[in-house]
Amino acid sequence: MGSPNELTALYRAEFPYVWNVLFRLGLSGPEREDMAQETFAAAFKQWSSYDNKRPVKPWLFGICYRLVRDYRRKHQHRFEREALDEKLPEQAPNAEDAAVRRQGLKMVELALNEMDLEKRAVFVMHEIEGHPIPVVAEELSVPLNTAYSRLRLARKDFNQFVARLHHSQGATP
Amino acid sequence: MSTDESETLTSLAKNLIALEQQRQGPSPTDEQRVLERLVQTNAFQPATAAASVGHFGTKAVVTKTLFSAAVGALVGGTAVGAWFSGRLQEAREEVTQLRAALTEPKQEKVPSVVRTEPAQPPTPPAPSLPTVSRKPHAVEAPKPMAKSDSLSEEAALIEQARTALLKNDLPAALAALTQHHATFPSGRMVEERDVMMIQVLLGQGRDAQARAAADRFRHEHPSSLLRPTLDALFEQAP
Repeated sequence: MGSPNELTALYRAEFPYVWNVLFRLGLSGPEREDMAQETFAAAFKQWSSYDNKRPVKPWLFGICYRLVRDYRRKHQHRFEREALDEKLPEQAPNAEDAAVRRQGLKMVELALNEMDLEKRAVFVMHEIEGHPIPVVAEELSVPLNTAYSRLRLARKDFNQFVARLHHSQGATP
Repeated sequence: MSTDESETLTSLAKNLIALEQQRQGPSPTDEQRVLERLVQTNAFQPATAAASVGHFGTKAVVTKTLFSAAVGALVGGTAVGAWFSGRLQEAREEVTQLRAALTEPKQEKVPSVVRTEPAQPPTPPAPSLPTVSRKPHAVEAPKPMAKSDSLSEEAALIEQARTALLKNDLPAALAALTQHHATFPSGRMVEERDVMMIQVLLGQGRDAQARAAADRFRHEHPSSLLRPTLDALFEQAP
């Protein structure tokens, strides 16, 4: 356990990162808030033994991932795929930029929801958060080859899904 | 090293990911809400204060006061930081006082750890309202609340609101005040809460509601020491 100063600084600096990572791993509403609390509680407990040379964000991502994985195992029924029954926001022909942005963000959300959590975590961590694959492999505790394999499969899924959405809904992000 | 990255992203996928990377982050209210929950579950509790005081109720008072001071020093600007530095010194003095208090058996009165206003007239003891974590996912089991814990919880929320107001962060102030209202509807720092709530209303441009709330406050607390503070709010308002 670090000092209150250290822990508060950690919280202030990294809360936005954790908040968005949890959403990208499929949590929203009260579940996201619960997991944000649990992520920092776990991080605070480990903080005194934390190696300062280790980058903080990937470490926090690893904590988020394990918490989300355990949570999903307990509440499996809530995370069954909803496939395409969730519609994209309507877009008028002369839509404003904000509407296009909303539609694009929704496409990403739907595409990520199509992936299983293992692939999704690698994809989010590398493609969206920008962490190198060796770091991804270390923080998610998987062999390097497994991380690369999951990345390849996740990219394939993502490409296919957004292309389908794009054609079927006429989206133009 | 295997670099099996043969599958590459399409330009559509890359555009979407670029969009996702700019997704809006949490609101100040989100950040504040989770922070409050961490405080309530003692997630910030350092081992040093616990070991040196050795009484769970008092420990929580000391820890949370120090924590509140630390929060202020970190998030505030120079003025707020200086204010909280003073509070940190006060908190250290509180530790000494609380240690002394523990040596005297059956000492009922717990010193106020946060109030910065002049001492209030004696008020009836606050009802022993339970202060609990709002969510079932508390990392550590909540400890039973002593009176001193309730007071420190109250004080922590009031401090959060005060700090937020100093930063003109109205949503965060409102969140802390709402939480105080929900947890301590008849707490010992109701007057502070109500005055700050009026300040929030003024900040939001809801002048009519602010004036109505101020009239109610004057009626309910005719001898409140915070009346000059309240009056000054309306003198400053355009």
